[in-house]
Amino acid sequence: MYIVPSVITLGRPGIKNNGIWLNAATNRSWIGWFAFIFLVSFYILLYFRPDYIINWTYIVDPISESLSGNLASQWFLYGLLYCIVMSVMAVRMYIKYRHNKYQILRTTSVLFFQIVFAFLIPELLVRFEKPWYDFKNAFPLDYDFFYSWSLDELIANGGLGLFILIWGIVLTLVIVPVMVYFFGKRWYCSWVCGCGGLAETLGDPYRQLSDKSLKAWKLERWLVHGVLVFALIMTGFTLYTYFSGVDGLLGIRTQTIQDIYGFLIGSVFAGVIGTGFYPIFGSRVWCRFGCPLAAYLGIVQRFKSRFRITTNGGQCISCGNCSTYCEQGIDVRAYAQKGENIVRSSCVGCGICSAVCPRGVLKLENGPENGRINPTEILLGNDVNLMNLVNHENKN
Amino acid sequence: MKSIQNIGLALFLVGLMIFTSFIFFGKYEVTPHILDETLTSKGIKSELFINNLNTNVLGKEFSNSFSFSSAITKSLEQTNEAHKLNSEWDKVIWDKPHSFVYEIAKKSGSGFVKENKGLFWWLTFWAWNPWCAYVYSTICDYFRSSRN
Repeated sequence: MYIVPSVITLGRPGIKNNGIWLNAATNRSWIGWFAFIFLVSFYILLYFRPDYIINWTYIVDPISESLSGNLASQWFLYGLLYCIVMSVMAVRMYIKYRHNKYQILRTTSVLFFQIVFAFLIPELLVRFEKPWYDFKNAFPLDYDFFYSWSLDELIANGGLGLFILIWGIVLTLVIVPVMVYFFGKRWYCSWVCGCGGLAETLGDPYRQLSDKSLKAWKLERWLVHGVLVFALIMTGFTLYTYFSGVDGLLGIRTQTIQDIYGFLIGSVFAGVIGTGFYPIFGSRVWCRFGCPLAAYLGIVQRFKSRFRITTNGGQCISCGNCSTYCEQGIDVRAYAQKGENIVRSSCVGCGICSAVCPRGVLKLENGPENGRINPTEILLGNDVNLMNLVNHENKN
Repeated sequence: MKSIQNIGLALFLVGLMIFTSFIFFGKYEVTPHILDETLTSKGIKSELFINNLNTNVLGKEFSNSFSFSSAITKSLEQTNEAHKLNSEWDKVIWDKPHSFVYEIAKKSGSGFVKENKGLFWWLTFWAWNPWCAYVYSTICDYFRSSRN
């Protein structure tokens, strides 16, 4: 009821100045803080005090029983709420971006993958006494794929178990890099990933809150790749323990590393901070600062991909919509003003920058690798030594 | 139009507050049957823990999930500490305390939410749905007529 009438109240199709920075819900004001507290509390209860929310799980027991045959765990409740919230906010997306076919299609895709692949299929697998598995959840995002209980469970489950094991490995080692080569990170982060799906639907009102500063970019680079390294080291320990039977290496127990990763990254960073921080820090905090899969995809996108966002610099009026709404905190306008292609490793290819551009300057494209990266030196930039630059160019 | 939006928002917030309030309701009581089931399915060997539960938890009715949870987690922590001191590693219960309590609580709970699962499902999530459909159709008509 709140969302649907916006078809009328928001006026004609298209993006317009709608006072988003003046609305208490979207400009880090009191409503935003309430939402923040509510979301963070919800995640803390869900992850760390599930025994307090038993009544909530009772409400969804009948649905859980009809799908998997089991009573609802707190994770079923979470998955169901996730799908419901995404569906409702997807309606909002359809209305807001109804002028943009790309956004309609993309929202539908991400909704489909969440409801079918992350919710229905795994629950139905359990009904048939197979392991619960989300086929689109790739390692290292699915950080417990190589844990001993997971490997044991898959190996013990016959043909399907083995298929899942091989699928998981092929997905991470083959499908992911090949798809990023052809389409960029966007095929996963904006069209398939569940976290991305929530960020694009529930997080849409909060895109403009992502930090655009250079400081944030510097932190982001260290943090997101650091988490990837952590995940890889942890998996190394896990596999070593699994195959050798030795429960640790260099005086560090594998179980301890798994526990620390599971708590700090899996629960606090991805869950509590990842979604809880939407109303204050923007919709992609996890994706930008923590997701190890994003780091992996980003490396491929930056160095070996056909994806770029082309900019028709001559049409740019420097309105700044693109930078404002970039949920990854990329200063898109700077690239557009110079007519440079955007191939940033953090760009998830959501396409919103292109959707909000009043002049059609930006276009998400896949093209030949040659000449994809076309930087422009700024002669009077802060970090440029003018004499070096001039002499260097004269020498060539 | 704006008033429809505001009504919708109000309904949503009311529903959310009702939903949130549920965590404060419900009674929890562990029957011998539930205790048996849990102990066998988890393979718990610690007599200390079982005795502790028998005295502090069995047959008692707890008026909310917080006191229920803290009663069990306290016994869990005490007995685990004692067993760890004596290096009786197979008697230590390695489960995460609150996940352990979750499983018992799920079976031990009672109250109007548990009794009326279906009703509350419809009330909290779907009461506003028919309104949405009605509102949407009204809007489509309005849209169509305003364009002509």
